[in-house]
Amino acid sequence: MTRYLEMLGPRPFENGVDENNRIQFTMNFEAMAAGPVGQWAYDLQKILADAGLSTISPAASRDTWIGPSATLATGDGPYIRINETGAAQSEETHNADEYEMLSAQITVSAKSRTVVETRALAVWRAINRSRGVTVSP
Amino acid sequence: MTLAVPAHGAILAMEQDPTGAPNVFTDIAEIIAIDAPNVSREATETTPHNANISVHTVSNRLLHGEMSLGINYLHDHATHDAATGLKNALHDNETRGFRFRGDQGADGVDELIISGKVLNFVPEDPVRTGQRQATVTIQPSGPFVDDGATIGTVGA
Repeated sequence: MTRYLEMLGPRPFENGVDENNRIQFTMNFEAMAAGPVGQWAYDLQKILADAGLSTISPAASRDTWIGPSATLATGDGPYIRINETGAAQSEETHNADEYEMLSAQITVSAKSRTVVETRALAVWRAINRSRGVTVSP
Repeated sequence: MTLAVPAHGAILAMEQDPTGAPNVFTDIAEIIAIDAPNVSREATETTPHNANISVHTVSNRLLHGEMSLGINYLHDHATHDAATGLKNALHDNETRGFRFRGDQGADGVDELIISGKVLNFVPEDPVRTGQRQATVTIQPSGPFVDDGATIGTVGA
């Protein structure tokens, strides 16, 4: 269980096409959470799953993958890839409390521009401006 | 060999109930900055007219500066709140003990104990990023204990 003080990121932007010629929209988030944080990318996926925007299981309906080495399905999408990215060092207190700084990149891809943009904006709005959120995997 | 030590880990503790439970110190939670009191002496220039270099007389009286503290403000924490915490110390205006210890501090070692009152408690609520914080100012008064030695006397 991780308590996130805030999750913030700018609006998604169009970012070329992927290896299957699907249009990509990408967005970046920064977050601050009470440490220790476990799997930040999976917590993001959980937030999206709770919002009805992401599925990992069952495999037949999977639309989200974690990490840059994952291979996305070959369909039309929309598909989501979540990558953790580098962030700033933790904030601390003298009392040994630690607040971890996190960042991630989420890329949404689909054949249809309307579909990918709609899903990307929904993903962004599900995460952006989240404050005081506790996520249990 | 270099000898500097990290500042991280310094702790300020307070007497929450100086009347009912004196000498019971509780660590103040989530401290992000401590500026210890600036204890100083005043100097007066007393250069004779025929001197070609200044002469100064330093006061026999030690002078307390304010002590300031930054915290991640937890509105319901017992060392921050209005019932028993720093806000209460501002409200009740009682003189109480504050005990600073460095990271390796212990009883009489890297330790400063002052008597004082809380002068202000200022929460800060940034609208966009960052945690809720507060700054607190403490005015020391009277003798203090520095590494186990009592400094200063009052009266007579």
